[in-house]
Amino acid sequence: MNTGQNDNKRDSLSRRKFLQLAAIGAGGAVIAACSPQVVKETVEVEVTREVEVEKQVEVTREVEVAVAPPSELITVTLMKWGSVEGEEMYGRIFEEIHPELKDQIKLTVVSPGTSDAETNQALRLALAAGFGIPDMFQATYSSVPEFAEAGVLTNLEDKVTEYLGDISEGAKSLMQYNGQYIAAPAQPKPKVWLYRKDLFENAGIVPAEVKTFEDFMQAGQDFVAANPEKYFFNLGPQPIHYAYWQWMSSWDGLCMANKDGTYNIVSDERFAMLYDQFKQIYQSPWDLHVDDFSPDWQPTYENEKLCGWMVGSWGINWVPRMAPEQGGKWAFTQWPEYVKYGSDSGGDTYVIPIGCEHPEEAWIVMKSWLFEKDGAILRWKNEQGDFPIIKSAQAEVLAIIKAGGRPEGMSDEDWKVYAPNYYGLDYADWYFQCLDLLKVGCFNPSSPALLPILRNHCENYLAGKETLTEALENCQQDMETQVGNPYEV
Amino acid sequence: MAEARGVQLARKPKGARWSGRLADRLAPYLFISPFLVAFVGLFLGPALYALVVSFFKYKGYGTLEWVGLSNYSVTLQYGVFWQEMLNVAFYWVAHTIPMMAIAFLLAVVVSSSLVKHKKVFKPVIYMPQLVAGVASALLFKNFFGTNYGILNTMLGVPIPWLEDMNLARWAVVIMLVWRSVGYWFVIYLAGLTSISEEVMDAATVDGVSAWQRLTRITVPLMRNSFLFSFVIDAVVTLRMYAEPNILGGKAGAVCPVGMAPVLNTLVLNMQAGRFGQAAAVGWLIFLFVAVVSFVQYRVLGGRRREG
Repeated sequence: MNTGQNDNKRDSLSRRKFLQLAAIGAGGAVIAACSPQVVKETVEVEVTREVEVEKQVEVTREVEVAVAPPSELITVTLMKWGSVEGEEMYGRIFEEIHPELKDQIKLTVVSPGTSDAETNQALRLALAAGFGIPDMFQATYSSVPEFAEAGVLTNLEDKVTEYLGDISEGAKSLMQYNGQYIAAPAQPKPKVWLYRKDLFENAGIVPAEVKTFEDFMQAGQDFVAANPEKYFFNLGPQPIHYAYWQWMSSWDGLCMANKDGTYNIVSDERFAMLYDQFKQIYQSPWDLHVDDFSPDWQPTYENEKLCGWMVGSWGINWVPRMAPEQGGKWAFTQWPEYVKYGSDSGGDTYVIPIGCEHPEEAWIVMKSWLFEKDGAILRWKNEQGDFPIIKSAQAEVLAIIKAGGRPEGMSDEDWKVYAPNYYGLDYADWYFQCLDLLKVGCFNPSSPALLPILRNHCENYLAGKETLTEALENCQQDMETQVGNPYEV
Repeated sequence: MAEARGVQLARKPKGARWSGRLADRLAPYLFISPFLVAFVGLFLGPALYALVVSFFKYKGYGTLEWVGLSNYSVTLQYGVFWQEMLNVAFYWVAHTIPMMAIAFLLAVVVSSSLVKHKKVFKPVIYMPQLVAGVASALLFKNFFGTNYGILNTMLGVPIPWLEDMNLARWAVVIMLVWRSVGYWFVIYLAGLTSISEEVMDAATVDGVSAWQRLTRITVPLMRNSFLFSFVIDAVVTLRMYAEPNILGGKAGAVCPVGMAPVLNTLVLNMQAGRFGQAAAVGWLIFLFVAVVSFVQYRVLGGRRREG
């Protein structure tokens, strides 16, 4: 009886067979995956005919000229944060300004995430990989030093020179790092002081007369005396990150560190002044202890509790949304004289990374939006927050705004919060005045790593956990140990 | 002839014997190869790469600069890192004990004869687990608002839940307990149903009280479930990131250091392009979690032989 042996034979055969079949199947799958794809390509050939007309006899000759090379559609990639809903708008603006190029250049917008930190990460990965580098990249100015020091940004000097005469002075500061033009100002963010003009008038406060820190503190006192249970300013126990850049950028040459890696937190008394001014404001009765974007923040505008906001120009679009019923009551102007210059993170820029596929085409697209008058105006019309940075376009925008009127098809809800209706027809004048005061802070390649340290010790000082001296010394020590020389990237 | 054939049948050729044994040995690995490929490619490989990068200064592109153990030493000298470690340790201890107690007691009650409508209670208790972590953090952010939050509106007192860091940590703990009770309730329920009814019946016949049944029979028999829950919950809690940052963060920035989890140091280094230091922080967190898991495993008696 050989049943067992036959069974074993059958078993071993079936197991072997299975492995053989599995190997054949896997090999076949690999071959199929690796096989070259055959792509059918259609080439359009252009043939011209010349029609020659003689004096009395019409003669038509067919002339076959050299075949024109097929026109190649170049796709320019813009990498930006946030939604890509505006992709169609960006492309449409370019096609409208340069219809002759619309069959040659096409725009694609990609968004790796909702914040600049995510887009910066995506660019770093693309640079490390050596492919997928976008032709245009949206960067906040605070991120520019890292990439500029690494030498991965295209120098735009020869391209922008012809436009410099028409660019606002404030916007020009966004274009430079270490004296080189390496960025185009997509959305400058000058500082604006938004305030309830009716309540300021009630308190006898004229913003233009608030020149010093002492004047500012007195204005707060006057405000709360005339408007009880309302607040002049908001600074909570954890001041928002952009507040630090907004105040630091006011003071000329205030840098956290020098190029040789030495830090100035202790030695430069203006850092002590920054911490101390925050604390004085925090301890004032007219300061609302609610930080920007905390859960309680938006209701304080709606409830008319908070009546002033010193912020970047992007705040102009926020107040109407938070307090839609207060149209006509809000205005904005420049910051107090002693801190009128500066910005928060500078603003958003467009840069062209070295190693991208289409740098020249990217420049053509970029300048159509920013440096060519018609494109800049069209961009503003489509995105109300993006005022033109060139003076020739600014004049026309001002004229359009002052002509007034409700845009066709605008709903009642949108009209209520429409900036010219909400702030008044002169609001753009104020914006451009503030734009002239824009100045970028002293950013370095490690600014994103240094700011949390600066914030942490300021919060400890506000909470009374550290004295002023301790906060500054500990801050500097942490920066030295954690970051080292911030310029060594 | 038959005998010769029989001999032939009994003994396979040498080559066939060898290839058959090899095939038998290789077959299991072939079946687990997809997992192995994914594990090596997506976990082990990147982890080893991160380990190598942790000894360099590297911004993600360009050249790597050897710095040795510097990334580790500066992290260990950083006061914020230790504050964040203390924060996650607090979250772990402060939320685990009440959460496990509540989940276990709920499981005991629901599985007992006292509760009639078990099919109603089980999904209701589990429901918070269905809410995404980010969504629940956003809800609790409004819940704990100082002047306009739901809780303070009910209490009539403006308690600074998210501004005072001592209170903010408790706000995180409350949220963690609310969200996680349902998950461990289900795990414990499954553990309770695996206890033989005969054991319980025998104990009842022997005159054992309900409390004694719970403490002397149920809890010891649930040891493996407790081991699993404590270890897994510790790992998850020590690696948390979203909950404190959504509760306490503003305008896309991370939360204040007073409530920040230790992953914040890693994330901030990544955002600043300091990949070497971020990798070092990641490996320090891994070591911390491994030590905690090992200690729990030994204390809770996970010494059963395997295989």
